[in-house]
Amino acid sequence: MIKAGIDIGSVTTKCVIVKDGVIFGKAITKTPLNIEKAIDNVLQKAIEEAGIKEEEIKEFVSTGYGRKQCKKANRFITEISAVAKGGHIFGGKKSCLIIDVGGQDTKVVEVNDRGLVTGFLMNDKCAAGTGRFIEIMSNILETDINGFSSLAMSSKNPIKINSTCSVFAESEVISLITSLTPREDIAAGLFNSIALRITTMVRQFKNIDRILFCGGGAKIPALKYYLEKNIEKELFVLHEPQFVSAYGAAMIE
Amino acid sequence: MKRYNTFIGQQYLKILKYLTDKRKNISFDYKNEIEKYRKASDLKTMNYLYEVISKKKINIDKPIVGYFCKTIPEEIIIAVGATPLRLCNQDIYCAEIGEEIIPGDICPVIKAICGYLQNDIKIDLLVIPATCDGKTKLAEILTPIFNDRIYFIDIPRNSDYIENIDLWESAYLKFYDYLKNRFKAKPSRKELLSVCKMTNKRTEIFRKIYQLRGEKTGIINSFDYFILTSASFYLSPSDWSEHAEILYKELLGKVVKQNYRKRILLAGSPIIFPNFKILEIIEDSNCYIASDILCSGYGHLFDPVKIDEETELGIIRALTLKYIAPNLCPCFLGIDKLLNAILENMDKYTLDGVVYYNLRLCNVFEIEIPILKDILKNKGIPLLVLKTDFSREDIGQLKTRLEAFIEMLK
Ligand code: SF4
Ligand code: SF4
Repeated sequence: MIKAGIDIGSVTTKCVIVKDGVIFGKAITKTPLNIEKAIDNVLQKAIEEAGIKEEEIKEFVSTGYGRKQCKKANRFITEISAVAKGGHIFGGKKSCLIIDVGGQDTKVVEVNDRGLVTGFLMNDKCAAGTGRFIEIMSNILETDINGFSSLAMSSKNPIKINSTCSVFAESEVISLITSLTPREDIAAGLFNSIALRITTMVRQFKNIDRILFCGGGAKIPALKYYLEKNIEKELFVLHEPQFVSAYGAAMIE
Repeated sequence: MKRYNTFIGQQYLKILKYLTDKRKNISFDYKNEIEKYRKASDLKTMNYLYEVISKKKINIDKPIVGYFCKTIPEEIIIAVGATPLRLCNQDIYCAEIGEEIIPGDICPVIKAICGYLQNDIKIDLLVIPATCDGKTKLAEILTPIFNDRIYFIDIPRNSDYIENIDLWESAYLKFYDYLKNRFKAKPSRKELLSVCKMTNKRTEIFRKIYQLRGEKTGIINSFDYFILTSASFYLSPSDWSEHAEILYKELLGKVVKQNYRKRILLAGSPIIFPNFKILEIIEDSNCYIASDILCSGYGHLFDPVKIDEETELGIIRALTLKYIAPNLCPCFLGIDKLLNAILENMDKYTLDGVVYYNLRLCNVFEIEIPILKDILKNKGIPLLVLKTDFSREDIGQLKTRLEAFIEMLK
């Protein structure tokens, strides 16, 4: 059976076409103000890649913060259940803890061996510890996210950044720049502070033997590195980390 | 209270004047909110209760004793011939005004109280208990405005009644003496007794509604329920009981149409009109609040005065027990009582989970969460903490959390 999963996040919209549990087509785009347009856009691209016709899709499931605005959807589920489902399947169907670092929010979801959510945490309404924070900081350091990550990885002497609030961190970083602190040490300090914040969330769960990592944040090597350092555990980055929720939505029974 | 007027600088007085001018721009009748929640109601009796809230129907023929918190014994206020008025407030606009008096990272309820006091109700005496730090300091902050119209009631933080009943009792006795002097009243033992009978009647009818709500899913939505409980801040116990009785009869004959997905227990910070944000989120997700243990409803109305000895002292002792023994407020020592209340309710009404409302910047409620989480987890009871303030920008996020919680319950 062919299904479509659409994940309308605050920063990007993702779509996957799934046939018998396997991804056949996928697409991603920035979420504009006009959400409908983004949905059409990713859906068409994903359909093209899958080489199918829209009529063949038996079920549309939408998730993410804009899920209710997807008119095509027959079902809505929250991004928590979606990422749990997707992560559980991609992660080998065992009980696990999933860290999902997205554009506006970061989630930590505890999943049992049957793929059911047993607990979850989401960051507060501020941007600290989310993709948005990483983006803002890379702008201040006048680089892009990849450059920001490489900078951090090359640091030998990460400094301590105290603020996790994006507004305060900005002024802290600017004063560090003017005091001629090496950029790579600032970058490393920033990643460390984000990782620390996420680690506090992870520590709220008892079972942290298997930790999976997904969302846009999972594509950033420095974030993974500093998370592993703080949690003192290896993280498994999931296949197609940005599409885990969309896939999970399509796979929900 | 000591007077601090001599210490007040020009700046403070300027602020007060400014606030008095500013309050003219606020309407305290909450037309829009009332409309919104009334529309969701299918109960005829509720019309009157909504009106009580919007028109603030209180008995102004008697002196008005405004107070905060459920730890103030209303009975003795009524006995001296005054009207008790619970002033706890959670209005975002009031909090904005209050911001000018107490800026900073302080609980918004404290700020809202400051703002709310700018309304037109003439308060003859303001009673503030030593519950949380914010309320305690509020007594000082408000002194320049209220001068000698303020009474600070110093109750101990340990609400273990076996250990501490004497301390509580003496605080209440002192308060009672103060009230008698202030309002030149000498209520007889019989009068005090009849007031207790009146509040007991209120408890009786409240318990019937509380139980019916727990047993019959959908019988009353949470807006109506909290309007009903909030109306008890304004109406005299006998007036409230009269309307609650009519409402109860209406509920018994009601045919429930709406289908709810889950039945939950609401715990945590008080919910007070017009801040029904948490209720909106829960109703929107089609969850039924089958029970609550909040101090704004349950805590205010659930417990009776049980009098052993009909002397004045005996009655005051019974009142002390009414207000401290079942006290679940986290300002006090005694989390075991809260846990028992949760477990008992979960069991009695077979509920699916607990939603704990944590008002941002209220430390006392937040500090209990780790213990609560741990114990409920061990008992296999699902718990969701919703931490938020009065602002509306995070409604989407909170809904996602609640919906994920519901999906988890399936
Ligand atoms: S939360 Fe506690 S201190 Fe505040 S009003 Fe309720 S009982 Fe009183
Ligand atoms: S909400 Fe908390 S901090 Fe605020 S007044 Fe009530 S008990 Fe005090």
